[in-house]
Amino acid sequence: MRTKRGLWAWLLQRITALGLTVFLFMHVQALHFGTGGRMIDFSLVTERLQGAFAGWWSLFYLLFVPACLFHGLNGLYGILLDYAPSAGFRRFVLVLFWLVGLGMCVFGYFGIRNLFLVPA
Amino acid sequence: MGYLQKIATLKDEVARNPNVGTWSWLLHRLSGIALALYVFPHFWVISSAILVKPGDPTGFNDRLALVQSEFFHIVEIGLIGVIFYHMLNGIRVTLVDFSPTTRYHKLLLGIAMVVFLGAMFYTLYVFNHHYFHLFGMGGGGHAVP
Repeated sequence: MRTKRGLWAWLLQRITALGLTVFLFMHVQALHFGTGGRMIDFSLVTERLQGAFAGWWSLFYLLFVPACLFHGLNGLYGILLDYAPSAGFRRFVLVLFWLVGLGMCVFGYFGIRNLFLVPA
Repeated sequence: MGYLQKIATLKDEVARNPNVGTWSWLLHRLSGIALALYVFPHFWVISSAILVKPGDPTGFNDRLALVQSEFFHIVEIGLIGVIFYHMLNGIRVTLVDFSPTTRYHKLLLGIAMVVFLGAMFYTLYVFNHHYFHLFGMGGGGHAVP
């Protein structure tokens, strides 16, 4: 059932995995463990994103969003390859995943960008 | 064979190689699929709530309140469990890939699962403190609808 996969797909999966380990620790700490039970709302999120570490948080999301999408979609693509699909279907899914991934990346960036903007 | 039939043969993979590594592989795959499918609605729920009216907290707050009910806090514990399993088993897979620890992969899985159980107890403890307040613990968190 195993299929050979590209070296880059494999290596990038490992690199994004290590990044996501750090990112998800920070994400879970900031939004699940570290809230003290406070309701997550606009003020809680913007206090963090517009605070002293605003620059670091923007770098964080700049890397976190595409790493997340690449790791997820590349993982799903690898699972698909295990089932030996036809070359045409494989190509279709590859193009579809890139379009969906890039689209969601832009969508996520624009959404998060608005949380960095100080309300007028 | 159709794709659905092929996916149904996952249990054959376990039957062919009935070792603990096959179970960890299967759980890694299932948790990976779950997380990949989770991330899209997650992006949608958060991003679409702030995309249209930047600087207007109302829509954002209403949206986020929807996913902070008691039901969703319980789902959240499950989500964190899936993340921790995939993360800890993933660290083990990466260690085995990049270092000469292949012979100790079962020991590494054991360590990963002990850390996993510890992380889940911590998660339950924190969530109880924040939201559920069982056994008279915690308090002061937001009111859970």
